[in-house]
Amino acid sequence: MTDAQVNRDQAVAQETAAAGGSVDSTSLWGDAWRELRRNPFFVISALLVVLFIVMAIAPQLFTGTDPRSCDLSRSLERPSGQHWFGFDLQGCDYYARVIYGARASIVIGLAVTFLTAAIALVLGLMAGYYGRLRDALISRFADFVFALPFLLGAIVFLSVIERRAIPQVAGVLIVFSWPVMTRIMRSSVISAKNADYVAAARVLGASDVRIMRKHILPNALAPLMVYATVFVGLVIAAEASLTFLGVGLQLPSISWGLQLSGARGRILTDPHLLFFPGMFVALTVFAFVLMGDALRDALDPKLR
Amino acid sequence: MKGYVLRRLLQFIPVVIGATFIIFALVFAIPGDPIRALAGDRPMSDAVRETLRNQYNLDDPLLIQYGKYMLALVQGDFGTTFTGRPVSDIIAQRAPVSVRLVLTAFVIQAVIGGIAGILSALRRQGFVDSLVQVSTTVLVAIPTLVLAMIGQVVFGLHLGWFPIAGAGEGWYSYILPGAMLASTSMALIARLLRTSLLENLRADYVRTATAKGLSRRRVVVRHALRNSLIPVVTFLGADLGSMLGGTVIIEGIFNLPGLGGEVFRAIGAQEGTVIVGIVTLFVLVFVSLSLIVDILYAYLDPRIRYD
Repeated sequence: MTDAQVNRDQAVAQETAAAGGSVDSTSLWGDAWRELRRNPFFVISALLVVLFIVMAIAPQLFTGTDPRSCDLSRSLERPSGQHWFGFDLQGCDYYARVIYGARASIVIGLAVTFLTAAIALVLGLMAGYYGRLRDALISRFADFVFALPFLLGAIVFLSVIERRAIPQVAGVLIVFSWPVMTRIMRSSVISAKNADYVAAARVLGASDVRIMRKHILPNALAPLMVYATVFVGLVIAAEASLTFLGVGLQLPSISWGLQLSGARGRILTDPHLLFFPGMFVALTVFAFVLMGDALRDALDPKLR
Repeated sequence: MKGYVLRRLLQFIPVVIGATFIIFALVFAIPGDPIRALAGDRPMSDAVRETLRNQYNLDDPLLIQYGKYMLALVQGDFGTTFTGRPVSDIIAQRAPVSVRLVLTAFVIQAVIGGIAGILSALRRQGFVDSLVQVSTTVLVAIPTLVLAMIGQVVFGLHLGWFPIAGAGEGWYSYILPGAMLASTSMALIARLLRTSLLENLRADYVRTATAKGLSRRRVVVRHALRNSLIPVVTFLGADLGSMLGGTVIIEGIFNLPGLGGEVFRAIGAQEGTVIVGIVTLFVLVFVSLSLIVDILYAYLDPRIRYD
């Protein structure tokens, strides 16, 4: 920026300030952050997300009871003042079980999302920026995988894996979910690629890598970020569903899906077995989906 | 138009081959003994294993295996159970239940989602609009699994409005499971229709139609709504996949004797060949219906045909 421009900008800023306006930096992300702090839905969902992440890292903060020390004589006891969520079939304290269940869901949700987003980032950039053969190869392969509905593909693949713990379930979810994010990334790269500032950078002799990193990536990231936030919720719901169906995590893991599948067939006699893990899954998914919604509203200038 | 349909048909073939190959490779080409994996903890004599290896041509190279598998698939052979019953037999017996469930869900989401979307767009920021906004946010965010189990307890058990499980009462027993299967898509349709209708109501051609003296009803129904349906149709096509996956959960919870319920049962009984056969059918149904939606889409939106 030349000195003249800086001077002019400062003059404009002073005038704006004098007129009572705001003179903060106005990047897309800065704007979005200001917008988000004022959005009550974002604040609520962010607090919930933080709560569940803390619960996953340090469940001891919420309960002093060991979820694996069970007393069969208390099997299926109803919720009471001392034991808020009652007891499960094995006579384990259900509150401790549900609190400890957050870890599997949060770990799978975040791990699958980060890895899928990383794959989508690389493949989307390659397909969108280079086009032609690379685009054709990546897009057609994505089409094949996309033709397999997410849940169905995961059911088939997981049903032939004998030992299933967090890494296996997360891996299978990544295998079937990368095409959607890759398509999102590819299309935002394509729309950023044709901008004048990219042509300007190229004329100035910038390398492909530099153009992608400095010019395209920052401008193409917003849609991926929005989808990734919602996606954490979708993955957590998918994990709970797969585990419920019997192709996800296995005992002795502690997970909400396993608790829900234990509740199936007992809803007549012991509705508390369904209610508490169900509420926790729903709240976690709700928090991430709501946060994604708020993020989209903040990042999309057309909606202002 | 003819060119477009032809192009879509040509793209359809590699997608079918690619998708079935991925299923096939995931099941039969993973390290270890696929027969062992398909059978789970079931004890198995060498003779049975030998027969199964023969049946799935596991001693051939992978591509030949796949070729033979595809050839059988084209002839309607979806494999056999461990007791020797053809999976296609089970499919023929169970499919009507799943078709009824999906149809019920489809009608519920189209009618309720559609009406909610139209009303909230026409009375923007009114009471109905806020109600739709809040309820769709909640519906989208609650996983089908949890919603279905809670719906079963509340509407089936406590209120007693619908049967709790089974398909014994004809179409009536499909309403609750259908509504639960439709819940997420219903909310998404309402939102999508609201957004696109609001956008179209501001369009120039709507102002023109109003200016030339057409009634409000005619302007909305004939002009704005028709164009607003385009994104909804696209959504319905993509949504079919998650709906088919959802039938496994819903039929499992509500104990409906359909294809999804059969997959649910087969997971519990560790009958891998049944799972693979039915999921393959689901994938074929999904790609075929997506093709139909794509062609329908071209009829609705002339812009698609000419690129």
